[in-house]
Amino acid sequence: MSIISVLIVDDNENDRYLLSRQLEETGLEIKSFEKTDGKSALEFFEDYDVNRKKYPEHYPPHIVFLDINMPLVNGYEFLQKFAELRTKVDIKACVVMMFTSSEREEDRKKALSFDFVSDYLIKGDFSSEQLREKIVSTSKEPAQ
Amino acid sequence: MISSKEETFSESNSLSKAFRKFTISIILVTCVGFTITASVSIYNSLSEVYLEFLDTEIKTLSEALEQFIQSDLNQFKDHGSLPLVVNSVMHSEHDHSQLRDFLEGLKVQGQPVGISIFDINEKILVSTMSDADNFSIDKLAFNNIVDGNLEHRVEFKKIGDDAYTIYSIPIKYNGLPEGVLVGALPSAFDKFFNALERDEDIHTIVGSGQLIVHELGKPAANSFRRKVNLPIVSGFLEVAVSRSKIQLTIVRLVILIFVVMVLLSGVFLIYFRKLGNKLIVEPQKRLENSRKATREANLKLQKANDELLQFSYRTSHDLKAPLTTAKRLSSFAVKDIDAGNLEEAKNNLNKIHNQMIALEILVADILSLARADYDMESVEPVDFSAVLHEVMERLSGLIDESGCKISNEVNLPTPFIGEKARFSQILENLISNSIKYRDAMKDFCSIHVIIRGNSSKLSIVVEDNGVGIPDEYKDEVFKIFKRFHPDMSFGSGLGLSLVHRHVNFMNGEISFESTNEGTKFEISIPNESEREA
Repeated sequence: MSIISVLIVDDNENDRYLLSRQLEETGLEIKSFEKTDGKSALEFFEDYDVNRKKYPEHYPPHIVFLDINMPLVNGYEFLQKFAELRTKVDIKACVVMMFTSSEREEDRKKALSFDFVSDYLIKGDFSSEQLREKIVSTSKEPAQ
Repeated sequence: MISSKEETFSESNSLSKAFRKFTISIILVTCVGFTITASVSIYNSLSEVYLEFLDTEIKTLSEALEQFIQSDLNQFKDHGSLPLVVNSVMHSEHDHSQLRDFLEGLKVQGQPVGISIFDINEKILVSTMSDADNFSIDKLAFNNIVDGNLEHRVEFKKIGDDAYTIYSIPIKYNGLPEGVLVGALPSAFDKFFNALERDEDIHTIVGSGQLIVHELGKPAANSFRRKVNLPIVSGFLEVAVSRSKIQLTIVRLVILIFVVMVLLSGVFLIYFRKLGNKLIVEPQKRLENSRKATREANLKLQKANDELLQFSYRTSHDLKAPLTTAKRLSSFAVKDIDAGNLEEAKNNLNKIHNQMIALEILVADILSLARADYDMESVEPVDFSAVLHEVMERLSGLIDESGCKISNEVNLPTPFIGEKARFSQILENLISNSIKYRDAMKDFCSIHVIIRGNSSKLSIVVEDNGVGIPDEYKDEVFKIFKRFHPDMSFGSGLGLSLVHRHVNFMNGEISFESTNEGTKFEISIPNESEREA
């Protein structure tokens, strides 16, 4: 399996660290980007051409791990803007996995209503093996 | 429920309007109707009384005249054969039989008197005189008498041994003046005419006499003096005149009644309007006001409830998240120790430690926020210099680390009464924000705190040269868990919410101006007596 590139969007440094550790434990070969809020994450996609040159092999990321409660632009605001952005730049292969501590059903439904959101992960509630399976199945989909 | 109540209210409102219109119409119609009815009935009854009065008056006067003529004639019994010449003007089409009977019945010493009755066209209707055809009249004088331009009266004259009575009597038909009856009792026509010619009064008074005098052209004698006015005859005229006067009076009376009724209607209208206001409009207004207050209270409750929901959700999230993180970090630390990677384990333990500190701050802030809506401690004069000093002490680590220069100016001529803890939290949050969001691109970090007061209010200003609040987030500054520069600082995101709550609790106002040059927060709080008012 080739290198999988991911973008972690979370304002909490510890959460970013924990997810990175878990990604390591999956044994997959992963290249990860990190952003601390929805705004800088959106900019990461808006500057498509620049980043494409900068990271020719890893950009755009295959998976975005997205927190909901963030300053400036929160997870939902990101999803809406990201949906618009998908019509402008070539990021259709990029899927979003929610990465949040919210267990509220309405949050889950709201997030999964976007067709490019493939999963809803609750922080601290999944093992590295489960994470691996999710990543693998997601990575296979574009190939099908 | 609310909407159905509103419908009922608007229905009752339009009902009350319709009721008021109906009442006003009824009052107006009643007043106008009453005025017209009253006027007509007063006019009718007065007219009847008046006509009755006239008839009685005329009857009385006629009787008095008859008596007078009889007695006057009786005075001249001794004058022998005195022909009575009566010139009367009547309308030929009317029935004069009664008058004719009366005149023909008049006798002097058993002999009939000479009488001529002319109609309005100077034609002789009846005459008891043999030479009536030769009796001509002055048309101008005749018409003057008919038109009532000459005064009519009865004169009694005596010339020498002879006496004359000249009558000028208005003849009425159906109560209206119709003509003039003129008569004389001369013992000798020559003497009579001489007397008339000499008397200037008679010249102007008695028309037909004047004509004859004039025709005869006799020289005037100067011995005629006796004159008697008879009030009975003039009474006839007064009655006629008073009729028109009474009519005028009645018209005036009716107008007066109408005006009074219109004024009374106005008074009634005003009274009923006031009564309606008191009975219907005012209670409705009160009801509407209380409904409005209830709606507003409901809205406030709804808003508070929404805030509480959001607060509890965010709080549980923000409390749970660091615990989950710490749990995971500790498991990684264990793994790191097992793998002999002590450095990574130490890092993770430090992260856990910091996480616990953040959690502690969060819990403390949540408690402060929860307590901000209740009385915190006793109310007493606040020593702001001391409060500021304590805040600086608490923030000393942060201040030293940041290198920020903090200056202050406290000017309170009269002590300000309040809860010290609120001001302590307000100042600490504003100052720590200024430090946390200092602008590293600027040469220095400066924060200026001004606390001023007068007898009515307290003013707190905290001004910095920090990074400022982005324009697009200015509406959300006081919302809970809002942080606009997450990369720059730490904190619960509750600080400004807490400041806002304290200011609200004290009925104060908070505002801010912010650019990339810096931010200036201004707080104004009324003194305690005005807060209670």
